[in-house]
Amino acid sequence: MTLLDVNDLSIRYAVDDGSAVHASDGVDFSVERGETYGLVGESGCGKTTLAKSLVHLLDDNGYIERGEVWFDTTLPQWADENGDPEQSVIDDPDKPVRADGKTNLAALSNKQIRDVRWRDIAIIPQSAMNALNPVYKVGDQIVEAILRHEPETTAEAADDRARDLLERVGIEPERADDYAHQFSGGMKQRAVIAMAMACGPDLLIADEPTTALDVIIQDRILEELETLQEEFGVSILVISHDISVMAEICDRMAVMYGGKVMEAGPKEEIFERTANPYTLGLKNSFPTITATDQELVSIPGTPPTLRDPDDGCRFRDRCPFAVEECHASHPPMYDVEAAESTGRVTETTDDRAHRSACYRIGELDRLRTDAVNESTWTDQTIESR
Amino acid sequence: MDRSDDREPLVEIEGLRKHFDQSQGIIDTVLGREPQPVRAVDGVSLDIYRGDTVGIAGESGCGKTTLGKLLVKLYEATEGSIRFDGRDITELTREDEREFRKRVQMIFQDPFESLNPRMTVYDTVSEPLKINDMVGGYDERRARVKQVLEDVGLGPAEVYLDAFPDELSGGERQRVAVARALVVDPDFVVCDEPVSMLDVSIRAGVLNLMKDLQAEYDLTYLFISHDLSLIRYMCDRAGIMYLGDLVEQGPTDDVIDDPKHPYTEALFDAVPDVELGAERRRANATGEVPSPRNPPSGCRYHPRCAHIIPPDGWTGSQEAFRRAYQFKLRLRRGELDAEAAREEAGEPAEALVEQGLTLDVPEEYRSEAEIESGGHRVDVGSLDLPGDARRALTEAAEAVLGGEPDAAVDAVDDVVTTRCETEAPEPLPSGTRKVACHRYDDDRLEGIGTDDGGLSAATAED
Repeated sequence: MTLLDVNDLSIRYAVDDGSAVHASDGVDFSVERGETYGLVGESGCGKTTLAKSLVHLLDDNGYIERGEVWFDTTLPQWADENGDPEQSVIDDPDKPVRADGKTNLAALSNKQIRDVRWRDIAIIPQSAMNALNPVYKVGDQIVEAILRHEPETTAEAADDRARDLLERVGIEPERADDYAHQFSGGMKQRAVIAMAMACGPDLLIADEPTTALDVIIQDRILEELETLQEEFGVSILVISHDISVMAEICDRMAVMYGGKVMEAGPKEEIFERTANPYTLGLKNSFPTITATDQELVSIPGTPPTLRDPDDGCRFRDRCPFAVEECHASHPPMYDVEAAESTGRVTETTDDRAHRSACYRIGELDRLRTDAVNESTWTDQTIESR
Repeated sequence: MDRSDDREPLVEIEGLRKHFDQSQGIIDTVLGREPQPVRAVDGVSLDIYRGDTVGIAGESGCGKTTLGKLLVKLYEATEGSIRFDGRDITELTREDEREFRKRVQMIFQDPFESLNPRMTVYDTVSEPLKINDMVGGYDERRARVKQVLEDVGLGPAEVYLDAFPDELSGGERQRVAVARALVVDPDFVVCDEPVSMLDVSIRAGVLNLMKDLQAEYDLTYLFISHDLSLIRYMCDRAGIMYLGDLVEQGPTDDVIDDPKHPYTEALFDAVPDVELGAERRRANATGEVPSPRNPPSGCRYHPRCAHIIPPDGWTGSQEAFRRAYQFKLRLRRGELDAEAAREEAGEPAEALVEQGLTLDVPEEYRSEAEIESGGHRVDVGSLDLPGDARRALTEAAEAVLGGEPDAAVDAVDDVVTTRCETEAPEPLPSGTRKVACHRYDDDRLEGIGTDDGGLSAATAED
C-alpha cells in the first residue's frame, strides 16, 4: 500500500534580487509501506530540500511553489475513533484530505504539521553526530520527544520506552543517563536513530545517514536500519550521494539532477537497465572496490546553479547525446519498459514503473553502447565558464 | 609500474612517530599527572619507490594526514627518520631545505579552503615560483603558469588567469590546487584526500588528470584516502593504517583481494559494493576505534580482532577464546552489569558470564542464543570453552557480584591471556607484502609466505 505519494512537487528558494532557486521541480515519486526508497544525486541536486519539504522544515526563504504530498495519516482532530478521517472532513473542500485517507501535507499549516512530525514521519538529520543536545542526557531527549507527541504517556513509561529503544539499537539501557559527549560516533548515530523511532513513525527520512562515519561503523548502522525495518515495518526514505550505499539498501530509487528526477524505478532496473544519460555517466565515474583495471570517465562540465533555469533539459549542457528538442523543454518521464520492448515512446505517470526523462529513450541500445566509450564524453565541447 | 628490485626508494620512512602533546591544565600540573600525548603516528616504516603511487588507507583519526604532513615537513617528527632521495630531511641545511621544498609538494583535501579567496588563479599558481626564485621575469613566469594550467585541463589558460576562486567550480579549484603543486616541477607529491570534497561526476576527471600528469611530470605520489575504492583505482601499492601504524602494506590488488591482517579484512568487508545481488559479508570487528591517546598494548587491533590468538595449551575453540577475551575486557572496563544479571532468572553469576561472553558483531557472526536475546546472552554450553577457563570466568563473575572488581580481574588474568595483548607485532614480510600480525610470525620462522597464510585456516576454525 502506498504510504507517501509525492505529486508534481516544486520547491523554490527566494533570492534577494527577486529571482528564485528552483531546488526541486515537478518531482513525482511514491513510497510503499515497508520499503526503502532512495534519492540519489550530487550535492545541490535538491534531494535534501525535497525531503525536508515533506515535513515543512525548509529554511525561511524556501517555499512550496506547487504540488502535493499525500501521506497516509489523519490529524487527531480530523480522525474518527478508528483513526480514519471523518466523512465530513473528506467532503470539506477546505481540508486537504482524500477519500483514501491520505492527507496533503503540503497544505497543512505549520501548527498542524507538528502532529505529523515524529509521530508519522521522523528525520535522522544529516550530521546526526551533532544532532544531540550536549547539555541534556541522551535518555531525556528521547523522553522529551515521546512526551511532546504522546502527552498521555507518563514520564515513567516514556523513560522505560527510551531505554528500550536504546537497547533495541544496541546501546546499553543505562547509557540513557549519559551525555552525548560520552558516546562514541557510532553510538551517537544509533541514539539518533533510536530517537527517530521514539513515536513509532511510519516513515523514516534518513539524510546521508552514514556519510560522517567510518566504514566499519557505517556497516553496522546499515545493518541496524535493515533490522529496524524488518522489526517495525517502517518505510525509509534515504538520501545519499553514495551510489554503493544506495545499491545495497534501497528497493527503489530516484536519480536526481538539477532539481529534477532524471530516472526512477526499482533499483535493479536502474543499475542493470540504465536508461538515462546522466545515470550512465554517473555509473562511469564511480570506482568500485571489486573491479580491477576499471577506467573511470567523468561527466564534463559542472552541475547547473538552478537560479531561474530555462526550459531546456537540465542536463543538456553536459550531455553528449543532446539533440535539438533538449534545448526547448525538459523531457517528461517516459516508460522505459515500453520503449525497450516495443520501441514505442510513451509518457508514464505510473510512479512504480521504471521511467526516465530523456527524449532519446527510443534509442536506448545506442545510448548504452556509446556511453561506455570515453570519447563520447570527452569529445564534446563544453562551455565551462 | 614495474617494480624492479634494484630501484632505489625515493622516500624511506623508518620508525616514524609524531606525538601531539595535550596541553595540560593547571589542575593536572598541580596533581602531577603525566601528560598523555596523542600518538597520531606511532612507528611507521615505509619505502616509497620512484614513479609509484602509494596509497594510505584508514579510518578517520588513524594518523594518515599527519603522516602526509610529516613527509612534506609541515610537522617535525617526534622520533624516527624520513630520508628523501637518500638524505635525512630533519638534518637539511638551509640551502638543502630550499631544494627539498621545491621537490616535494602537497595537495590538500578541500579546494574551498586551501585557495586564498583574494588571490587570482595566476597569483596562486605563480606564488611557489616567486617563493622559490625559480623563474625570473614576469613574462617567463606567466608563460610557465599558463602552461601548467593547460596541463591540468584549465584551458585556454587566459580565461582562468585572472579569475578568483569563488568564480570557479569545485573541480576547477582542485585543478588549480594541482597546478600550484606542479608548477615547481616536483618529484614527490602528497595528495591528502584530493577528491573527497568533489562531486562524484567530477571526481573521475581529477583522478584521471593526476594519473596522466604522473607520467608527464615523472611524479611519485602518496595518495591518502579513506575511500578504499579510490585507493584501488589510483595506487600501485597500498598501506593500511590503524591507530598510527601500518598494519599491512603491499601491492594494492593483493592487499584488497586477499587481505591478511584481520583489520584489513574487516575494512574491506565493510565497503558496500554497487554490484547487485552479490551477498556481502559484513565486517567482523567488535567495538570502535580506541583513543590514540591511550592505545591498546601489544597489537593495537587486538581488542576488536576476530582472529585473536589463544594461548598455548588452550583446548577450546578460537571463537570461545575471543568471547572469553571480550569478557576480560568488559571486566577491566567495569562494563559488566551486575544489576541486570541479578534480575535475570537463574544463577546471577551464570547470567553475568553469559552477558560478558557476548560479541558486539553483525548478526551473521552471532550465535543463536545471542540473536534471540538481542545480543545480551550466549548459551555457554554451546561454546567450546575449556573447563578451567569456564571456572575462572564464573569465579570472576562471583567476585563482581560480591563487589570485588580487582579480585575478579585477577581471577581471569592468568587464564585468558594472549600474546596479541602483550607483544607488539613487527611488520614482517609475508608473501608479497608486510603484515604486522602475530598470526604470520610462523611464516617467517618456517620461511613460507604462502598466499593463504593463516587467515583461511583460522576462518575454518571459527
